[in-house]
Amino acid sequence: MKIETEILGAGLILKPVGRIDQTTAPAFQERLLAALDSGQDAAVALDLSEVDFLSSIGLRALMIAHKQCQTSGAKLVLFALTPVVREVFAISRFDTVLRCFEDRGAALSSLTA
Amino acid sequence: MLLAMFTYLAASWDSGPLSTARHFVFDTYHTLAPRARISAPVTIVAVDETSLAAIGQWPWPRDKIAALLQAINAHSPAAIGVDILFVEPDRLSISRMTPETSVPPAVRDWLNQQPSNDSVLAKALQPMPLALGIAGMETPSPAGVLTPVMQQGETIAPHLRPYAGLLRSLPEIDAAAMGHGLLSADPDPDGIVRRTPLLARHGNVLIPSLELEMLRIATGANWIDVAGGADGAQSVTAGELSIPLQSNGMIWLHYGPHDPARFVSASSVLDGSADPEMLKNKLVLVGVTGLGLIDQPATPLVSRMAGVEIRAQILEAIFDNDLLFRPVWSPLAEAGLSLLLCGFLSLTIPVIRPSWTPVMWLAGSAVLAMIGFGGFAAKGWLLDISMPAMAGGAVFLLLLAATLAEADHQRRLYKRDLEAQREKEAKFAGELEAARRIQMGILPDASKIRDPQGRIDVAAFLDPAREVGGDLYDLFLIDEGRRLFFMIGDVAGKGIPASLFMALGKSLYKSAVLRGGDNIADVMTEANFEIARDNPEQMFITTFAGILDIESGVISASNAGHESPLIKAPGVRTRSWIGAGGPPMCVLDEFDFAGETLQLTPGSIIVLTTDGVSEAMDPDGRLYGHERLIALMDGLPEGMNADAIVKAICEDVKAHARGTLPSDDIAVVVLRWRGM
Repeated sequence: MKIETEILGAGLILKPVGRIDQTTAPAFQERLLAALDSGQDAAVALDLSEVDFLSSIGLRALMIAHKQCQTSGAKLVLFALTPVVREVFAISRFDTVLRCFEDRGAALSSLTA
Repeated sequence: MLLAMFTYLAASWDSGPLSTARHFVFDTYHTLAPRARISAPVTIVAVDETSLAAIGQWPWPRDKIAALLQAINAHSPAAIGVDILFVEPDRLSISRMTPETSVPPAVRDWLNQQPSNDSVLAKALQPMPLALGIAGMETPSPAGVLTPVMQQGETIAPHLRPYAGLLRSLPEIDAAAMGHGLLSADPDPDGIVRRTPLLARHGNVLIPSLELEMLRIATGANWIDVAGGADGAQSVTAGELSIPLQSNGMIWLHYGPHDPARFVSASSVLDGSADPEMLKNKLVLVGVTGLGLIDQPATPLVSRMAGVEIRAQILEAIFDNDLLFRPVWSPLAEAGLSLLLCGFLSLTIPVIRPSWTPVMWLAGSAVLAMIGFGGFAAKGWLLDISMPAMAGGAVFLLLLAATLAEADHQRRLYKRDLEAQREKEAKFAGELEAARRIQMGILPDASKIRDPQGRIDVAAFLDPAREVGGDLYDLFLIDEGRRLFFMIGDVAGKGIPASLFMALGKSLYKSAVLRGGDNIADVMTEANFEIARDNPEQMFITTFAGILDIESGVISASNAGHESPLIKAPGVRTRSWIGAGGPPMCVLDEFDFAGETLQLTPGSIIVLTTDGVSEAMDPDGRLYGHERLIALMDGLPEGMNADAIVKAICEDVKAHARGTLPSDDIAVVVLRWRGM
């Protein structure tokens, strides 16, 4: 899958494009974990504005990333969730686990805070 | 091994087991390229059937033979060769007639004064350029007078065909002849005369053949020169004529077909009707051809040919320089050809497809045949290609056998691998099947859950997408049947790992409930803690679990990231119950789940599903969706039992999919509380 990367100070903005499902999740997970592993103060903002489908495997990737952050101290925030993804987050209650923001500005300011 | 084989074959060239094959090769050359009769230097004066009819039966009186030879000599032939032996005195001589009745003394004296026929013959042939035949014998006897053979170089005698004795004509006749030549020829074991000695030996005395003596006489030479080397004879020279010899003094005959033009009948010579041109300056052979009188050896071309015609052919071949010859280097050439062919086959056969190997062998053999026959036709070389052909054939068969064995070996290996592969697949399929049976086996049978008063009615269905899946449900009574625990879940993942995690989750859930969890929130929290501890694959499970008080109809439930259940109360539209809860099991290792209670009205139905229902796709990729499920529920008649509702949902999902195989597990649990 296509993942756009934007370097922003100490952190990264990752922007996956398309579906995150059985076929694309492994690549997405690998890229996300590598970004979070880049250093002690690694910070990743995940732009989900171009994700139109997120399966349970995609959720699992986010869960693994979240657990890695809990051990390493890296930061992971999400922003610009599409309605589909927002619903998945609501049903699975991942919105209670992961920090989600409306837009890029809010997400970035949470990282620098 | 090949070297040993060549050595053996070279040593046993003449008598070895392969001589038959070699003769076949040489005879084939002959058949393909017989000798053409070009200069015709030889005439045969034949004592044939006509002559026997005209003159009388054989043997003729020797004065008659003398007359014949004189008639021939009158035409000035180059040389005369007599293929007849005069061993015994002529019984028909007048002087040998001793009448028993008394005759006048004058007559007796006259008879006694008459010369014998033998003397007549001896006297007649004395001035002639004539060679008499002599025969080699195995019985010892003196050699007698022979034309001197001058040797140059190494002595060749040990290499020549030895004879212990010589059978010669009466000394009177024998001594009168200008030359004496050997008539003997040894046929090969198959009766075919292929070679004949131009020189043989009696002790250390060399014996020229009749043909060689005729040539000497024709060229006016008084002796014969022979050149030899370490291997034996090399060539023989009479006058200006030099003939190459095999080392044993022999020449190989190159035969042409029988030709009547060679023959002149003896009777026509005697009566003067013969063509003088047939005799003038010719090499004239005199011999007997009348049927039944002589042996007729076989040649490579015909099964019978008069001995005297074979001699004529020898002389023609020498004259036309059309002798066959086995060069001294031929064994080397044959060994070289063998090695070349074997090498060619060894290099090509292992790397080409087995079906092409006969082509390689045929091609190699064809080149071999062209070399062999080409040498024969162009140079008169007798190259024995049977040995290279057989060596090549042996190598071909060995290599072919090896190649086929290797191919067979590969095929067996492949077959074995295939079997192993199939076995493995079957085993894996068996394991999957076993895993599915275990997975299905640990799911409770909803039909066995009964309330004696009939206040509850439950049904469940689970269909894994890929043999085994990650969906689960559980239903059991607690508190001595006063309350019903129910749960549905979905492991994020598929296949065996998901099903194992599902089994683990289900049992940990159950133990949490049975340890006395009155509060569903506490059950969830404890189950989450326990399941998260054993989660090396980092999976998670969404669950919806609840406890229904069968008497009061109060449900307390908690939702761990699962799809909201649908609740349909009589006379009310179906709705989702989001409820309190938390994230899916294992997403957070420790989490305090919340619970929520709800009072059911009698006749209410709760429908729990996994996303296999809401995300079931039709052929165009459209999802089944919550709305369709809600609409289905609203359309169902009141009072329908749980089992029928499960069936209705499954049918509707199937109708939506229209044959599209489900990509996810499908699980449905339906509870109906009838109330008091």
